Amino acid sequence: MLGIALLGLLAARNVSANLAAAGMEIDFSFLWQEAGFDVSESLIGYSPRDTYARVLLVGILNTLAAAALILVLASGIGLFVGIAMTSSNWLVRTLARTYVELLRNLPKLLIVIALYVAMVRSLPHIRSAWTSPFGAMLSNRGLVLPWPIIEQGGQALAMAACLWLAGAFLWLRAARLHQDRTGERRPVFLPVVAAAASLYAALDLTGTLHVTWSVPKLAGFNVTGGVSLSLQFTALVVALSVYHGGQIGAIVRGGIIATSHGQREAAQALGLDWLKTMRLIVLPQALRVITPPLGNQYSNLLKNTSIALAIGYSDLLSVVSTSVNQTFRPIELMVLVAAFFLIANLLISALVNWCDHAFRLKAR
Amino acid sequence: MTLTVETIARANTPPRKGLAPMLGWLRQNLFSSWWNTVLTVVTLALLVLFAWSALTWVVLEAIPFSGSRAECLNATGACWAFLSEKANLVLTGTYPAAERWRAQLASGLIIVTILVFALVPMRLAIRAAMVVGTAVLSYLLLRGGFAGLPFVESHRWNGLPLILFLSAFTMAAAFPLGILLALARWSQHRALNLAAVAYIETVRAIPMVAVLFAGIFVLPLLLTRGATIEPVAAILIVLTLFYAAYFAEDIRSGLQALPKGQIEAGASLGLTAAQRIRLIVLPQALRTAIPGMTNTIIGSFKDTSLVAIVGMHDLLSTARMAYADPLWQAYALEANIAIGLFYFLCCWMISERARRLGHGAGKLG
Repeated sequence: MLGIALLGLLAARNVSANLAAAGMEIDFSFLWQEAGFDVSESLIGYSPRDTYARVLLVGILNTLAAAALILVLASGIGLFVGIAMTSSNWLVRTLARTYVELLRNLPKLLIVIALYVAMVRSLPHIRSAWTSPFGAMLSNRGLVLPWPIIEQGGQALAMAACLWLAGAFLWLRAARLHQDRTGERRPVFLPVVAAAASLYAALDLTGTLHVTWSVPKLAGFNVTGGVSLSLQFTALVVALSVYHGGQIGAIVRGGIIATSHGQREAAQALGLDWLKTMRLIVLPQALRVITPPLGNQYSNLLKNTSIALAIGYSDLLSVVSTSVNQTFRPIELMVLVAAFFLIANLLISALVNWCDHAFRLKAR
Repeated sequence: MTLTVETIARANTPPRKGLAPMLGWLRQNLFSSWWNTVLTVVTLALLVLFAWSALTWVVLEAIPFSGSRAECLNATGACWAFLSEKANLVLTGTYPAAERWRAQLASGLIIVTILVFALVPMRLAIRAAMVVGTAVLSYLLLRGGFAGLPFVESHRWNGLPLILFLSAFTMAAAFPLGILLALARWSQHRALNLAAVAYIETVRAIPMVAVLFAGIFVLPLLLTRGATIEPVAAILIVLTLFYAAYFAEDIRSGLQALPKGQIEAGASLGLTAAQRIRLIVLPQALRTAIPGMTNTIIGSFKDTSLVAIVGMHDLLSTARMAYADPLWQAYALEANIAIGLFYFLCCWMISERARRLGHGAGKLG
């Protein structure tokens, strides 16, 4: 104990001696200086004339954007693969297991780099980009998706959305109360979707709302319209979704297997079909088991977005790396990075604890 | 359900010969309902399509290892000749060609040590001596600068020897450190406990890439003024500190699973605290922690490839060097498949070995 404290003291003394020799001290004011380098893409306005603080914010937002998208896609893939792994169909089960085993044993960096290199080399030039029926374009510059633009009635749409959310919530509560009282299940999904569709149709038909789709179009050597995702972003998101999808699949499988077989047989005996058995009996119980490992997986996923550096996507660590090289303030920048990831992880584990608590078996 | 009745009835009849049992298996596992049949047919069609194009690319229209570049130019399949042409570059990177045998020898030495370590039972002290001996020997071999071996700078240690050196010796150093950390977290001592928790949780929250950066940029500042540290050594140190936290977390779950009576029984036998930990606590806790630790070892072996991000040339970067050659530019996929195969086999062997260890006599030896 004493030894560790002494070592720490020595390191601190060395740091200050080293910094003093270089004529520097720990100082965060460089954050307000001009950064002077550009980023691959940014969610907020950014130019090289902006400050280091701004470029770090750009990096944080890029990291969060990629992580959020990967989280959704990987969870979808994981759910699908996890269910496929417990399928009664041997072929499907074996394929899913092969997928999980394969990705468990491959480095994520290899997947990201292999995908990125393959995309750079084999995707067509922008002028002969692959176009999908709805107008999405994929070329070696990246992916461009069609995007809705609200020309008029944005406020009305927002109000309708709030109304719809409140209505859906009330309907859900009423349906649950009704089920608790009588045991009869009222439809939830269809009425809620129908309400959304009819609200939208009403706004559209009365002319309050006017939405046009901005479809990407080729103009010379550029694409106009739509929302553009860079090749680096696309490669990172696809690769990490596939990678974490496999790991989440293994977790989901574990959760499904942990629910006793009797439960499934009882559901079948009650005449529930496969979808209802999954949705009402198996998955809610599996959720209880998988919440903690899933939370762990989500925090890994956030951390793993940092390999974006290898393919040039401007995530937090990649802008930090450039900033370190320019300012030589590694200690300050590393403290900021550590603080960001610590806070993000604390938030994730708080959320997981809350979910864990909410899903726990309530004995009445 | 009728299915159950059928199964029991079938179990009582003597097994039929010929195709019938196979057909039964097929019906049960692939064609049990119309939905399953559709699923099977669609999956099979996709699989056959994929398998056929993969086979064409990998074997039928590929140029074998013995081929030449001229042949590859006209081929529509894979160009495996690329791998034999660039084998040395991928394996040892920019290590001086005349001294390449040293890099190869060091790799071989580390591989043999890992195999002996994993397969041959021996005493703990001998194990430790073997690991330290191999570490020193392979370091000297790679570095040179004595007995007529020319000095090779550490940034030219590329490819296989680099990842073997880093992953083997970070694991070897992180494991004991992880045990100490786990014990600190487990102990009743308040300050020790708090320090261990803070350390483990902080490290586990930070991405490995950030830790590597800290190793390259921050660690040199912690040294006495004027002292320098080679990047390889800096990476070795930070990775050890990093994985120690992960091992500690795995071992903690083993410690938590230990019944309290075990320690009390040890105390009533008159064992000292150190003896209790060495003879009773650790053997049981470590055995429970095997699955978790296997995951950590596999994860760390795979993630050693991340050192490429801070400019050290692991297998991924040497492969990149190989397909950066303008003459062989088109064959990135072949190189990446070869590297993937290498990682897959290594990780698969690690998990197989760990599975046996979990099932076996249960002595970590």
